Parts: sequence; structure tokens; C-alpha cells
Amino acid sequence: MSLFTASSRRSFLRSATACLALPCLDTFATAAGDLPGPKKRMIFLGQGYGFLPDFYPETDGRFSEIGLTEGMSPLKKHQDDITLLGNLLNVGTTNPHSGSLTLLTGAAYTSPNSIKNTVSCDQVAAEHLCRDTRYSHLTLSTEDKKGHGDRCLSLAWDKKGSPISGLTTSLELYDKLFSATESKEAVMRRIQTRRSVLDAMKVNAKSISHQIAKTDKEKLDEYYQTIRQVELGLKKQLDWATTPKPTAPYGHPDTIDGESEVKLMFDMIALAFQTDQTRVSSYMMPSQSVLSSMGITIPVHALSHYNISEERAVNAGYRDKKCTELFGYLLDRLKEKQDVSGQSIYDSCIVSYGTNIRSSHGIKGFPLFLSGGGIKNLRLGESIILPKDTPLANVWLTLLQQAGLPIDRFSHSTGTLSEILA
Amino acid sequence: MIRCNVTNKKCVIRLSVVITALVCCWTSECLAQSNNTSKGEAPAKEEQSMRLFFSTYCARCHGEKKQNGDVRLDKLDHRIANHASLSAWQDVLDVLNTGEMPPEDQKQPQKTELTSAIGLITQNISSAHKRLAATGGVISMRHLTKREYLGSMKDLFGDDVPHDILPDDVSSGFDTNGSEQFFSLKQYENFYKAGRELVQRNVQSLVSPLPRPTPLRHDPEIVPFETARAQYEQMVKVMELIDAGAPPLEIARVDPKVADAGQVRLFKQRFEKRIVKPKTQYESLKGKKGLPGGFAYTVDVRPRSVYSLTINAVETKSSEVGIRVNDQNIGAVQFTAGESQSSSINIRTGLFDTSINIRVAGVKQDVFDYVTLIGPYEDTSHVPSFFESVISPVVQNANASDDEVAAMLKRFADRAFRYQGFDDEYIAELANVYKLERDSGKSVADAVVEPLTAIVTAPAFLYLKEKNEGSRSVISQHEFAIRVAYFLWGSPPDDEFYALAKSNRLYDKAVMKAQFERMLASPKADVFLTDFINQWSGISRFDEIDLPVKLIRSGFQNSARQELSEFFKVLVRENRSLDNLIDSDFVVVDQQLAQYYGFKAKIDEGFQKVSLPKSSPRGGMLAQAAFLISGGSGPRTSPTIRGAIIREKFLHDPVPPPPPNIPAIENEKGQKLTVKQLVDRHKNVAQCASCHDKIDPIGYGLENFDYLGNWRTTELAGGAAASGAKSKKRKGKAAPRKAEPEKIAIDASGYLGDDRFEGIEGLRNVLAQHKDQLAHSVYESLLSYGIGREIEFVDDQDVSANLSELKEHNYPLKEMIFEVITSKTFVTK
Repeated sequence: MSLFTASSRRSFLRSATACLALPCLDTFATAAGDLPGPKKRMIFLGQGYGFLPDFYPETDGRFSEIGLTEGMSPLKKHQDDITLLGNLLNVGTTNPHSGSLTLLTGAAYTSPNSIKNTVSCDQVAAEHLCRDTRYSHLTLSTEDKKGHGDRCLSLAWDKKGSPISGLTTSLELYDKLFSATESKEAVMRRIQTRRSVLDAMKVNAKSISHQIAKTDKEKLDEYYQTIRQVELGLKKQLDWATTPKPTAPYGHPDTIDGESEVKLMFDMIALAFQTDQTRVSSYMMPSQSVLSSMGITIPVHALSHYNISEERAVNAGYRDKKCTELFGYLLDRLKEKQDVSGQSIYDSCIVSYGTNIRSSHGIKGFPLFLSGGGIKNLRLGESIILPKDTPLANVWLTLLQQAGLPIDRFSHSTGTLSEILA
Repeated sequence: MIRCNVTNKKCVIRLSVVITALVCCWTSECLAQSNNTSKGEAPAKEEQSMRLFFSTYCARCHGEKKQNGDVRLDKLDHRIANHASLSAWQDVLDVLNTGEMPPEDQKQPQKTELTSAIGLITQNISSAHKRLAATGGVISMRHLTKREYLGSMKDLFGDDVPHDILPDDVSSGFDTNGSEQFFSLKQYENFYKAGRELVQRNVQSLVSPLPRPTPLRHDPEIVPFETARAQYEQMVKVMELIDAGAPPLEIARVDPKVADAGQVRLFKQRFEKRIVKPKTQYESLKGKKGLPGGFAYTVDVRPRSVYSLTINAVETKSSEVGIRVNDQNIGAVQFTAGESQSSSINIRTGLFDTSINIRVAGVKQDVFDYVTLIGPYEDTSHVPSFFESVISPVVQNANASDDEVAAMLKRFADRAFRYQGFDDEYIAELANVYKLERDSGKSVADAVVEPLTAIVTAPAFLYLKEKNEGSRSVISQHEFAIRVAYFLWGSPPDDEFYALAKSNRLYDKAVMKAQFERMLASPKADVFLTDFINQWSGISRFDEIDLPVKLIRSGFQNSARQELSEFFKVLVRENRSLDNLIDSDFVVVDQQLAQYYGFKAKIDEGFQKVSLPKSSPRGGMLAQAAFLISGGSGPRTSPTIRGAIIREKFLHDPVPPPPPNIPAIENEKGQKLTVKQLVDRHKNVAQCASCHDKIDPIGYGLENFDYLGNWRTTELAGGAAASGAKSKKRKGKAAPRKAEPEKIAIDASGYLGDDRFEGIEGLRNVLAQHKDQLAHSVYESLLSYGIGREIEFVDDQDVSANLSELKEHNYPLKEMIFEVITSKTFVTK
């Protein structure tokens, strides 16, 4: 399919987003109580920037037969457990500099100034997989936003298309997971006060609504929604007030470099899954700080324009390998940890690791790795070259369905991807 | 410009009538304007050339007869009137950019034809985006930015609030643009955390008892002596072990850095040289009384108190010795040259000071014995803040009645909500929170924390709200006062300004002018002048550049970042012309920058105006280190980035983002290229050339400044590390072999449209010819920043009318800001 027929793709897109404007997820909200089968867990990783052109396998086939490219070589140990998808297109994206803005949402937009984002797939998954866990999702992010775009607070976007801010440091995550638990009475008292404060806020918001322009009601509604979220959070805290948090298996280091930060985040994702604190996590990963911790002084954006000098290409190659090495580190952690039911975290997980760019400014055929044993019939250990311009939303739809969600559409999806299932 | 320039007293009395009349007149003009949106259409000549391009290269497959892939181009709407045609055009641009169309077996356009077609479409698409996103001038309600939050809190609590109490704002345009803001859970939590901390600290400072003053002695020589001794003794010990042939493992127990045979060998080699410094230091301090020179130490203190610092000197040469607390100069202690004497100075601690760093800055010949800090004492010079005056009587009364508490909450909320009112029910709810806290056993002081926090996290505090009856209209004077104050001060109006608004006198041009002068002269305006110019120039780019460690440690980074805002403050407060941004015969620098630029001037403290010698290339914004460094890419200059910033900021013509999936520029290995030659390769690819031809040649004019902003006349071509920056290789990987770089003379010639120029002087001349565009850029930005929305076509008439008035006086900057706040657009919601 040549891109030029994409004019029809765009008109399709318009109708698809029109459908999306409806709260399509509510239609099955009642259907999903307890999902059948063992617990499923999902991880969505977004890297930012692309990889060198020779990072990508030239053909499809099993890695054990076609071998791994230099950039992927750190994944040798996991080569039967990873799959790399080729020929993906995030339909509607036209700007390479928009970064991770629509990686998990697939929202259509043509200019950074006219975007209206839509819900991200991790949030769709979290709504169904995390009903009975302490945290309704674990959204991790970084201050080092190079490659992700200024408007991204994290990879996650809520149902209204507003950005969800993530925890940006491993210290914040550490405190969240392990901070000392209060006595039940103290929690109850604190929550009671907070709730009465929220009541006062609602009264204040109501009286303001008479003092402002009609067009500003939407803005005030953002505030209301926030209050509502705080209330829901308090309710969850109350539900979990008697359940102790896990004890910290290690202290948080005083100083930490870029690479160790990523590793620590991965350690804690695995631990949060192991102790069933939550079952869905997304992580908008840092690039510049990792590069700096490798001792490379060329800024990461400059590095992504490989053809300026041989030095850049060489260092970009180091970076590619570091990225896959870190991805491999996460798989190691998932494989070595077991949950209460005795199965390895890896076996219950559906992991995706991708970025919006292929190389330099190219946004077609960007890389997406899949891994994890959460989907029994997922084809793993392969380079799969999909039909040209396969919508990314089809991948997300397939993963969500396989995680047990009763949905038949996500964003601009056109159907399920049978190619990735055995 | 304001129409209401009534200064006659009688008129002022009847002002409210006049205002009503004016309101109607402004409103109808505003409405008339909003229909005038004919701008931004493709001019006929360009449309013709586009049609010719389509009929020549596309019509065979996408014309009247044949519509391959359902695409028909002869019917495309060249005015791009709606989103559907915008998408269609975007598709056309995509396939031209990727080179997919025209297909290989069809007739191909010349490179120049393709370049111009892509350039035209790109431009039309971006102006269509702007047009289609236009709201007709709707201003969205917004919440306080971090800067405004800090200003508002200072207004209530009296103290400077530390910047790290809130994370920085995230925004792509000006942070005051309400339609671009999102209010998220995290933000609420941040506001709650910050608000609670401020309230709690303030309440605490009112009720915490003042302990008896106690003296705390510090002997400055102890730490340096112990450090030198430890280092000296460690080195001696390691050397003894080496001489005794001890195994590395044993040596490493004394010094972990000496852990294998290689390190042992290196240690031996370097020992003689390295022992000298610790040895001299150790011996010079041994058995001596006091420490020569200066020193610093950190000590725990009570917030909001006074301490007396006494410095006892063994001998002094200086007549005065400067004292810095937390890096701020607080004054000097006096000495008469001679032996054994002491002198004192008072230190005031702030609300957030639980410990302070004290630096005694003497010279080599001064020898200090010890210092004594005595305190805490009550700070009698402290002027009670609004918060204190309202809260203090209540929290210091253990039996305060519920009514007193409710009245206190009401007074505080009134000011916090900028006197825009609230329901009684709201105070009842807060009183309920207070009661819950009291019932749980908390003291009055502890129990007011939550309800007070609730006030500074309420929407009435966090949002700047303005009424509007459904169509654009003039805002009330009270709302205007708030808008102006947050614009010029980043904080709420003061009593004087509120009072003038209340008596409806702010739309009197003479009154407003006097207020404007007063507000701009206040140090509170520094926040605005600094923040505006930093956001306008996009200085955050500079923060993202990794500078050589030496420049960060020396303080250069901070100085360079401040230069533009210090410069801008002078330009505005002295009402100088906008021209100065292009070129000026003076700079505003501190000692650090003066040295960096090679000036001989001696600058004592802070930033000062320095006249430039004729021969200096500095002056204006373009020759400032921070700007030049921002326009770098790793260890080389980037004419593309420099050119793009100039194009956007100085020529008011933003560059569209690079298109995706364009063919890569082929790299020929082994070529020795200058930066200019490297960047010039954009010309070889039509998809790149269409935009880069408007950017890169502007940046060439600054090639005489290297990536660190230093003047140069030659560059090293061919090596990526041309400017001497090293990139560390990982262990065991050899650096790729590079051809030896070659020294080549700088070619700083460039062009803007048909105007060719040479070097920075030439560039300045060309930009000066286009200063109307710069004026447009700065004026629109001020307006946009001030009212919190994008400037749209509907504003054109008001903007150009004011600009043409300013042009007559060559765009004086202070006047420009006054024109902005008294313009029709500024008083409209």
C-alpha cells in the first residue's frame, strides 16, 4: 500500500476518531468484573529517538536463525523471548518531533498546536487489570524528556485526553512503594479531614462557576475532576489502610547516574508486580542522562543525526546497544522474580518496548519489541515484518484483547493482528 | 492605546459614565474586527504556480480523467478553508517529502521546482493551522503559573518562597496561555504540598517559643587542619606499605584507590609531586593559632530570628571583611589593622532557614582565630506580614472561639481570593474542617493549618478568573488591576492599585501612566522583565546544553544565563529603543562575563552597564554568550539553530517543524568540511532546501563565534571534535581513526532573501532593515504573555495601529509595554 492511498486512510481516521469521541470504553465496563484466567500484567516502555539504520534485521525469521544485529546483540540471552515488529505506522502522526505524545494513544493530529489526545492503552488496561490492587496504575516518567516532546508528562493520557503525570524519579517511586504505613486510626483521621477539605473545595468551585465565562466551565471542570480523583485515591487508601506495604529490600542510593536510575526503576516495577501492588506500568524512559552516564558528551538529539560525522554514528551505536542491554535487564528481573502463586512475573507479563522514530526523522516502520509469557500464543523469538504501514493501534488492540479485555476497537485500529499470534 | 485620556478633575468624577460609553465603543470595534479574517490566504501568484506544478506533474493520474488512489488534485482548495482540505494538503506534502510522488517512472520535477512547491505548501499549511485554530480571541481561564504562585504567596506571607517548593511549569508557548494548561492530579498535589508547608511553617513561627540565646563557637582551622593531616598521613602510610612490599589488598585498606599493581606503580611515580601540597598545608597549620584568608561553615539556626556573629581575628590587614550568608552579601565587619581584635554583625534568618552557610571573606593576610554565633534573639525589625496580622491574635490564644477562627479565615480568604468574593457556605465548610481537627485533639495553632491550606488550594485562589457574558467585552477595573499586576509583577495588586480600581480610576490614562511607572520601577517588576524575555528568547535551550565543567564551576553558566534579562531590564527601564536587541553600544555584564568577553572593566558586585569599544563584536542579543551557545550542536556551531531562532524571534516568521521520512543526506566519508559546508548540503535535497534556505544562511553570519560564543577567525574542518571537546570512549574500544583536521578561514557570509551580507555586522544591518518584524514579534509576545492567549488575526488591527504609533519614536521599549496594557485587546475578555 503506497502512502498516497493514505488520503483514504486519513478519511478513515476522521471517522474512527469520531467514534472515539464517544466514551467507547464504558460500553463494556459492566461486563468486566473478574477477568477469567490467571492474572495478567502489562508493561509499556517508551524510549524516544530511533536507532541506527543497521539496527534493524533485513529479513523476517527467527533470531536463532537470522541472528541478531549488532545493536540488538545484548539481547542474545533473550533472543527466543523477544519479537521485533517491522512496518508499523502510528496513523495520524506527521511530526517526528512530537516524540511520545501519541505512542500509546494513536490520536490523530497534524500539528503540535492542534492536538487533542485520546486515552492511552495502558490506562485502558489498568482500568480492567488493577481493580483490586493498591495502585490503579504505575506511571513512571523522567525529567529528562528529550525525545519525548515537551507536552508529555508521561506516556499515559486519561479518558479525556489529558496528560497523566508520572513519578519522575526512582526516589519518588521508592517512597511510594515502601514509605512507612501509618496506624489505621491515623489514616482514618487524615482521610476524614482531607475529605472535608475537598467538600470545601467543591463549594468554592461551585460559587466560582457563577463568576466566570461560560467557555471557562471546561477549565473549572478539570479542577472538579481532579478533586474527584483525590477522593477516589482516598477511598483506595482507606481500603488498603490495614494492609501493610512491602518492606524495602534495599536503601535508595544518595546519588545515582542515568543508567542506574533506569535499572532501579526496572527493579521496582518487577517488585511492585511481584507483590501485586499493581498490574500495569508504563515508563517514559530517559535518554540524555543514560548517555551522559556512558561518558558520551554529544547531546542525544545531535547523536540521532548520525550522518553528520562518523563519531556520531559510532556513539549512536553504543547507545543502541545500551538501550537493548537495559531492556534485557528488565527481562532478567521479570524472569527471576515469582509472584505469590509461584509463577514467574515474566510468565504473567505482556511487555512492549518501542519508540516513535525509526532512524533520524523517519516515523514509518519504527521499532516495537514484544516480550513476556502473558500471551500464550504470542509469536516470540522472531523478526516479524508486517504488511506495510500496519497501524500501531492494531498491536495495542491485540495485546489488550489477549490480556483479557473484552474490546474490539482501540483508537484508530482496523482489526486484530493475527500475524503476531501463533 | 487607551482612549480615556481624561485628566480633568470633573471628568474623573463622572468617569463611570464615560467608561460605560467607551466600553460600548470598544466592544463594537472588537466585534467588527473579528469578522475581518481575510488574511492568510495564498496570494494568487503562488496559487498559479502551485496549479502549474500539479497540472505538469500530477494531473495525469490525479486529475479530471483519472483519480488513482481516489486522489484528485485539480479540485484541491487552495485557500484551505477547513480541516478536510488541510488533511488533503498534508497528504500531498507527505508524499512529496518522502519522494514517493511523482512515481519513479513518471516525469520528475526539477530540484528547484520541487523545492519551491514544498516550500509553498509547507507555508500554506502552517498558516492554515493558525487560521483554523483561531478562536476569535477567546481567553481561557487559567491557573497561576509557578512564578505567579510564588508572587501570590509572598504577598500573603511576606517572605520569599524558595523556588523548589513547586516543580517547574511545562509549557510549549508562553506559560500564561490558559488553553494550553492542564490541571492534573499531580498539580493539585503539588499545590497542596507547597501550600501546606508554607502555612505550617508560618503558623509554627508564630507559636514556637524563643529559646534562650546561646553562643556557638567555630574554630575555622580545625577542619582544614584535620583534612590536611589525614591526607598527609594517609599518603605517608601508603608509601611506607609500598616500600615494605605489602600486597595491594593491604594497601587498598588504607587508600581504596590503590588496589592493584598498576595503581601502586602510578602512586610511587607521582608520590614526590603529590605529597607537597598536603604536607605544606599540614605543616603551615600545625600548632598555629587561627586560619589565614577566608572560610565558610554551616550551622543550624532557628528560622525568623536574629543572631549576632562575632569574628575574632589574630591579626588583620583589611579594614573590612565581607560576610556572606547563603551566598548573599549581608555586609562587612570593621577592623583596624593590627592584632587580636573582634568585630560583630547581625544576621537575620528567613522562614526557611533551619541552617545557614556563613562565609567570612578575608584576604591572605587576615588570620582568623574563631567566630561566635549568639542567638536566637527576636527580630524586632520584622514587619508583620498580612498573614501574621490576621492569624497571630488567633493562634496565640489557646481559647480562641470558633467565631474568631471563622472571622480570621474569612479575612485571609478575602485577600487570598483577590477580593473577588466567596459564599458564606464556604467559610462554614472550612470551620467544619477546623472543628474536625480540634476534635482530634489538635491545638488551635495546629488545627488552623488544614483550613488555611484549603484556602491556598481553592480554585478561587489558584485560578485567575474573569467574567464575560458570552461575547468579547471589556473587563471590570478590578479584573484589569489583577491582570496588570500579574503581568507587571507576577503577583496580585497592592492596596494602592486595588483602591484605584475600586474608585474606577484606572482607565484614566494619566493615572494609569503614573501607576505603570511606579510598578515598573518596583523590584517586583524584575520578575516580569526577566521571565518574559527569557520565555520570548527560549533561553531554556541554553539550560539543556552541556557546558565544559570549567565554565559551570566558575559560575559562567549562571552569569551567561542572566545576561539577556539584565540587559532587557536596562532597555525597558531606560526606555531605550528595541534596536538595542539587534545591536547596542553597551553591554550589561558582571565580572565573570566581562572577563569572558575580554573587557578590562572592573565590576564589583552584580551586573553593570559597560560601554563597548568600537572594535568589539559584542552588543545586542545575538553576540551574547548564552544565545550563541544555545545555537550549538555538541562541540560545533549550528547555523541552523541560530538561524531558526533569529527567523522566529527577530523576523517574526516561525520555522515549521522538519517533515518526517525525508530522504537522508548522503555523507561522503573522508571529506574535510567546515560547518558551513556541512550545513550547506541541505541544498542538495529539495525536501530540505525548501526550509533550510531560509534558515541556514542567516546563521552563517554568526560563524565568527564558536560554539562557546568566543570570537574566531578560523575553524578546524573535518574533525567532529574540532573545537577541542573530548568524548570519552568506553574502556576497550578504540576511538575511530579520523583524518587530521585542517585549519580554514571562517566564511561568515550569508543572505536573507535577496540581501547578501557579511559577518555579524552585515547581519545586524539586514535585521535592522527588518526591525518592524522584530517590533511585531516583541509586541505580540508581550500581549500574548499578558492576556494569556495566542494572538490571532482578529487582533491585527489593534496591534498594527499601536505599532505604527510606536514606530514614530523608533519603538521605545517602556512605551511599548505601556501601549500593550492600555490597548483595547488587553482590557478585553
